[in-house]
Amino acid sequence: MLYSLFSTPVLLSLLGLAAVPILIHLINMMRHRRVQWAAMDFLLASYKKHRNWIWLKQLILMLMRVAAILLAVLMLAGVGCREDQFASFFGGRTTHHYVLLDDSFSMSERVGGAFAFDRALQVVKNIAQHTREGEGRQRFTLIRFSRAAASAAETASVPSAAKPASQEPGSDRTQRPAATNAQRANSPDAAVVADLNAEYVDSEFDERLEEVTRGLESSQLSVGPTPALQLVRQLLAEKGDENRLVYVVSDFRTNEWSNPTEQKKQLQELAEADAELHLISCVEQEQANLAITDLAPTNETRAAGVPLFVNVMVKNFGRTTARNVQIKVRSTFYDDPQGANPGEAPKQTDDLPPVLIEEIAPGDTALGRTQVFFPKSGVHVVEAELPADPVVADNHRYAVIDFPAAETVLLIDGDADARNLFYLSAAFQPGSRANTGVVVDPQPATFLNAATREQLAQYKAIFLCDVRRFDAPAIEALETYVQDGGGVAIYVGPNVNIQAYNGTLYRDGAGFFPLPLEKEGYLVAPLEQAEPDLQVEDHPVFAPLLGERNPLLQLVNVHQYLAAPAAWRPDPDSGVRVLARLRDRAPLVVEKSFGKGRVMAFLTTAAPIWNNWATGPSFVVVTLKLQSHLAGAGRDSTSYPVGSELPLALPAGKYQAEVTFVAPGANPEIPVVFVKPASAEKANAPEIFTSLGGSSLSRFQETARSGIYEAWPRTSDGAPDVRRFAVNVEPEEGRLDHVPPRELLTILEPLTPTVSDWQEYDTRNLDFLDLGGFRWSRYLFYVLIALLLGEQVMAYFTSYHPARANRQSS
Amino acid sequence: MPDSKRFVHPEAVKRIGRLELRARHVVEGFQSGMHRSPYFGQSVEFLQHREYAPGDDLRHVDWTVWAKQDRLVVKQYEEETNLRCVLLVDVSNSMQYGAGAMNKYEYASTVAASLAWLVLKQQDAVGVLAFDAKVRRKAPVRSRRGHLLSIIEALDAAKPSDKTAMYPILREAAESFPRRGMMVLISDLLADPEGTLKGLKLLRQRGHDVLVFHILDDDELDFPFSGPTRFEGLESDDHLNCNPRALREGYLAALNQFLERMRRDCAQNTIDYALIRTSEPLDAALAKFLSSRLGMHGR
Repeated sequence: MLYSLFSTPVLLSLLGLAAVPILIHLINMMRHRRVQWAAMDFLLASYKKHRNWIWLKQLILMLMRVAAILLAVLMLAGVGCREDQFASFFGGRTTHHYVLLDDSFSMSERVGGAFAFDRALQVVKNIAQHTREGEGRQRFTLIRFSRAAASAAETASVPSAAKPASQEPGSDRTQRPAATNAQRANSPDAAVVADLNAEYVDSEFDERLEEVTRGLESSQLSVGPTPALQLVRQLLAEKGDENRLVYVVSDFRTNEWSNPTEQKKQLQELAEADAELHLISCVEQEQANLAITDLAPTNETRAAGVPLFVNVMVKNFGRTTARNVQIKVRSTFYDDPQGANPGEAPKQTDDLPPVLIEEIAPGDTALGRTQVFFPKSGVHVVEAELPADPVVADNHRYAVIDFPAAETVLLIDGDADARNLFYLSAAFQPGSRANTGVVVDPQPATFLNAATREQLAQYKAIFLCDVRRFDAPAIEALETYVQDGGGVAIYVGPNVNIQAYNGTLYRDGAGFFPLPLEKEGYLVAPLEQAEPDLQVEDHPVFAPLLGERNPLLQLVNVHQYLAAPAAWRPDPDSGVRVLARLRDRAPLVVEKSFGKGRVMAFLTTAAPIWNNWATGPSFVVVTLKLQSHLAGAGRDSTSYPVGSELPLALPAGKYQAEVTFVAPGANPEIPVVFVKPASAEKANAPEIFTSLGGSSLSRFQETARSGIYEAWPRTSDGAPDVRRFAVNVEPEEGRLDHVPPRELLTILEPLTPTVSDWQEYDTRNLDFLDLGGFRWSRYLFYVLIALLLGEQVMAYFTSYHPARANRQSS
Repeated sequence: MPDSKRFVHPEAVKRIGRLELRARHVVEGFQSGMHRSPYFGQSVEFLQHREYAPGDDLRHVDWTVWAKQDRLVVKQYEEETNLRCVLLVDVSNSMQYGAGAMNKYEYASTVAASLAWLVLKQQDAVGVLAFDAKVRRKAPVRSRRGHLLSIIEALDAAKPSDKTAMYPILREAAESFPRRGMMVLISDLLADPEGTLKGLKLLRQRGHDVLVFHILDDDELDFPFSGPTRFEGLESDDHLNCNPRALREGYLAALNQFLERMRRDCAQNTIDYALIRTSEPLDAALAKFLSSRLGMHGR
């Protein structure tokens, strides 16, 4: 206690003042006056008689002076309002105000010209001001939801104590004392998490609070109160005896508080820890709000020069129907960044025709669709924007779409005449004027035996047609390819060795082939064509052909196929699904999810050998959809939630070990630049990694704003290879309906917190807060006064005060 | 040649000039004067009748008594004689203390000179004896006017030295001046009080009219010191480092006890005692004392 108190040189030097009376005494002993004195006998008699009493009085006087100086120094050092142990000694308790501030983006709701978050800040200031006027010692802790959530995520993601969290670059808290790794692994460090950590409310507190809250704004994160409540619970467990008031300053949205099981549990624990709970709502009436919940391209082939549909999903969080919702859509085409500085790649932004949604019922999500077109390959951006409403953050959404020059498909045909290759190639390239964006790369079956992981990764999909059998290296390469997110379509045929397929590809369900094969099956033509040979499920591949009016599938005839055992049924948990069956209910098209990718098995030929499908128009449609579907599994996710980590993996040796990230800033014209090192997890690893943001208290802020983020890795020769990331808000946070105070009280029963409106937290109305406390510094002051008075009295009685009147009379 | 003005202040003697130093007791002089003599003679003061004896001067026969009672008686008158005053001045080391205009030695010497002037002015005889442990200087008892210079010279030459030994000095004075007269002791009495009182009693037993001028400095009476002080004895090797504020009360108690004893014992032995501060104006102090004596004498 005293160590912390006197840790500053100033206080230590002040403490030295206590030695002044002793020094003065010693100096006086050395610098006494000499008097030649006649009446020594009387003096010696007096000295002999009073020696002990004189010494005692002198000692008491000196001790009183030392004590007075010590006390004054202690009060000057703030002991009067800083040390709980002293307060406890005097019977008083500190009053600690834990203010939990909701800074999720729903707090950015604009109400009557002001933001709910601004109201919340005003509430915080009013509480602080009221506590400063209160009696007793007051501590103040301010915790934002976002920081508590980031801290909780960090704690959960760092089980080992070895992570050097304090060495992370870009930390905005580097000036704080770094907690030990063990502490950080076990519990969040309040000193790092809290904006104000147990600060004493003194004359300088307003300045500190103003410094902290200046420029503070609601985040674009979707965070609930639970992490902050958990953090406070931990803090309460660590703190000693104190008077506790916990304030939750929030908007109490329905999605978080209508059934707050976890929150209720946390509040219950706080109440059991003798905390007085105050819930302060910063919103009044519910407002309508529209949010773009999704902006994503359709799962079609993406290639330069190929038009692509983009879906816009808009949700109506209000209680009235939204009509004539007009969505602005912009596409940004990025040209070759060669020679450009990070963030300054040449680009062209075009306003696309707005998407109009005529009507969105309350709670419903409506779909709008627009088409984008980029003439050149590259990583391009599409942005959608809703008209202004109470919450701005969810009115924007971004999508990054990678448009390669073309999507390459590996095609291996086991047919001696390459008939499958012919028909499939014809489907992918139906004519010179029609650009499907797909390029076929035909290879022999032996190609797979020597194919590397990187070689296969450049193919968006692999089509295997009537291949007799696969060697072990080929199977391993294919399985790795699918597990990494690739898509494989397998057509069987007369050359297929059933036993080999069952033994190597299916492997009793462990392989990537979806089902076992038993024998060749034959579908006898019916006497009357009442039922089509092919019956398909609702699936993206067959979606264009569905519908009673579409006769294309009825033209498909299958007369031979490879049949699965009659008793075979797909296991519901195996990820296997039958997408199409023959008239005799035998499965014809079966899909299996394998790793990140998927495999589609067609139990007949691609070429019109066992069927006539390739001769009909539906074959082209299904083949293109099949390619899109298979390639879609491997397409990178184009949207990241705000605050998440933007990972970047690069081939080792080909890129420089430093990557520049460009993030959107508060001012759109001024981006924020981060430079991150890229390193391999292990020596000689094939890839180096880096990232921006992440579940770290010091890094989550790096991606705390929605928008387009760019990574500018540079190859060894210095050429930029720009990657883009779309970071979007969590749309459900835009749900603005909140739980009214009375209802909240009912929900939280048997808890009895005070639930108030922000307007009630005016400084004039806060007398209901139990500031408690014990201003024992006042008692220190009284003791000091008593000491000084005592010193004066003692000094008076030990000194000589000539009385003129007496002298004159004598 | 002594500085006559060192110890005789014209302003002071002017103020006390109208006063008289009268012996309260019978003193033996050489000539007629204003003081009662143990010898009967011609005087205006009738004392008693005595039976006539052959040889008596017939001028003293009270014929009125013979006419009325038919017996011869002689009228006896109280003889008035001159005063023989001896000034005993303490010139020990302790007397050199003084924080004011004059130290105790200077003040005592001035008192002595002023009294000498007064005595001579009354045509009485005065002598001086300056002493510490021994008699340092001595001026014989004379009544001529020019004797004042001899007294001043004796006082001036007797610089303070050594410590006081009161009883031997007083005994020596008693033996040196066997004829009853006035003994004026001017001292701070900072010596063995038993010896001092014993000596004073001895003088009284020898029939002397004894006056004590107790000269003390303000500092000695008030002890106004503060701050750490080292007191070093003027007549001893004693010293004391102390905070005088703390000792003052005890010091004053001891001093007052001493003064009270002196005052009481002097009164018991019919010794005039006067405590005089060196800060007190000399003429005022003397005038006050002499006036009170005259008053007592008148009664």
